[in-house]
Amino acid sequence: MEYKNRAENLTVLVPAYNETKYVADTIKSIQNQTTPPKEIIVVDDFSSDNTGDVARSRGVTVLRPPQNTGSKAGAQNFALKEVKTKYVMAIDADTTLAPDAIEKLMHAFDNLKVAAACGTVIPRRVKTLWERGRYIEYLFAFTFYKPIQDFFGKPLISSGCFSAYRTTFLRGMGGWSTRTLAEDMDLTWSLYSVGHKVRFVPEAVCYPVEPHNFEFMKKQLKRWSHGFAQNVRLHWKEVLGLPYLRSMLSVGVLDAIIVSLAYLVLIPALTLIFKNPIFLLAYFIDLPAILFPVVVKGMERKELGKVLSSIPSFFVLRVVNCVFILEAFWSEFVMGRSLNTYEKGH
Amino acid sequence: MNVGLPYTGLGGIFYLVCAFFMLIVESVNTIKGRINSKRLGMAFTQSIMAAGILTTIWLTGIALNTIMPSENGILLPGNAVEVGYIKYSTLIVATPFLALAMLLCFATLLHIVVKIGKSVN
Repeated sequence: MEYKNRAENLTVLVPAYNETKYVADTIKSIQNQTTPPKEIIVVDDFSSDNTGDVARSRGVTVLRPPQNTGSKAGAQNFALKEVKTKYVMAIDADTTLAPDAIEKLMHAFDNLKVAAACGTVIPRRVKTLWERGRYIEYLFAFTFYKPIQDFFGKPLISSGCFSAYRTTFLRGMGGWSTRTLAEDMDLTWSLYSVGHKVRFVPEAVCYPVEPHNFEFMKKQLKRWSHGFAQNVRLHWKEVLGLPYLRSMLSVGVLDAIIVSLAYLVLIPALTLIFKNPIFLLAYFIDLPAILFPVVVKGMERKELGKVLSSIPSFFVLRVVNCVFILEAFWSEFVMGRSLNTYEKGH
Repeated sequence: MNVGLPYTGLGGIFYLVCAFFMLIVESVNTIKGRINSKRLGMAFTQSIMAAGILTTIWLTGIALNTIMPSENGILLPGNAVEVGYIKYSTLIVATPFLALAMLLCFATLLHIVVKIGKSVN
């Protein structure tokens, strides 16, 4: 099928809760695609602002559930019932797309076994310490890690902010589950467990708004960390049967715990015990290793200055990440306290 | 001179190994006549990226060895002393790879145990 035809058989879902500030730009970026979708549905998830009116003014279908669905997954599932096209895409209400993002992403469905596809994520705004840290994180991950995962057929997550699905496969999974706080990870690993394929298309680029201050970053990191822990607990047996995913997750879980303990406990302890600040080098010793791929990508994107000025923020965010991941694993696995409240990151 | 891979975490090592493995996989496929230029290009790109990362780590080691006083002893591979037939520096480099190998073996073993458990039930 030609890619233009594929987009004509595509519905884009945009779950939105109090997104007056961003939803118009998101809708505009979808409507201005090289291959626009057949339909755009904005789910105004019982917003208290005029998100629905702003969306309606852009000429898209707006659905409003009778009460707040409680999560992004809930909002997306509410709209999934109305989808009549072969493909469905979910985009966050604060995420804009590169003009050819949909055209590029739909290439992934050449393979009939592909159930989902995701693209590259670059923060739209890179100004504050938190946005800069996230910018470097994403550049590194989407330049180095994700293409490797895709080569071995197992991208770790089909990112919730911008992913496309075969509607029948998605419905076969029951849509997006609300049993964890990371519905995108849950869906991706569930697709793998039943033999479906997921692809990463680096040329399809989206630009979400990332948390700009610690208050919002805290909420997002808490959600992501608990979501990760919940998915490990939920899927560990199935994941063991998928060799590459098994290896990725074993390393990921161990790193999450051991490296976090090293950063937060071991390094400060060694510094104090031996009264030698040389141990603090450990926080930055991999700076050149991190620099290499992000500088390469920064030069490709003509953003070298932005990359170099954002590097210090990455090291701050990395340590902050450690706090939340340790708290999440402690809470979910040791204390048996599962976080169920979905809080937005802005 | 040996340079270790300190403080990068097992995740970094895992992906570095994977990047080079991509090249091996695609080279074998090419020899067998199963040529996929996109996959081959990706394998080369990621391998070059991995080689770049390893090079920067090695250069970091050289720079640190140059500026740090040698009485910091075995903290850095280049300052390590020989102990019998095994250099500490070799151990420092090998340890993360051994840890990775052990972890992956453990995960595989766990898979086998779970699989046997399922078939028994």
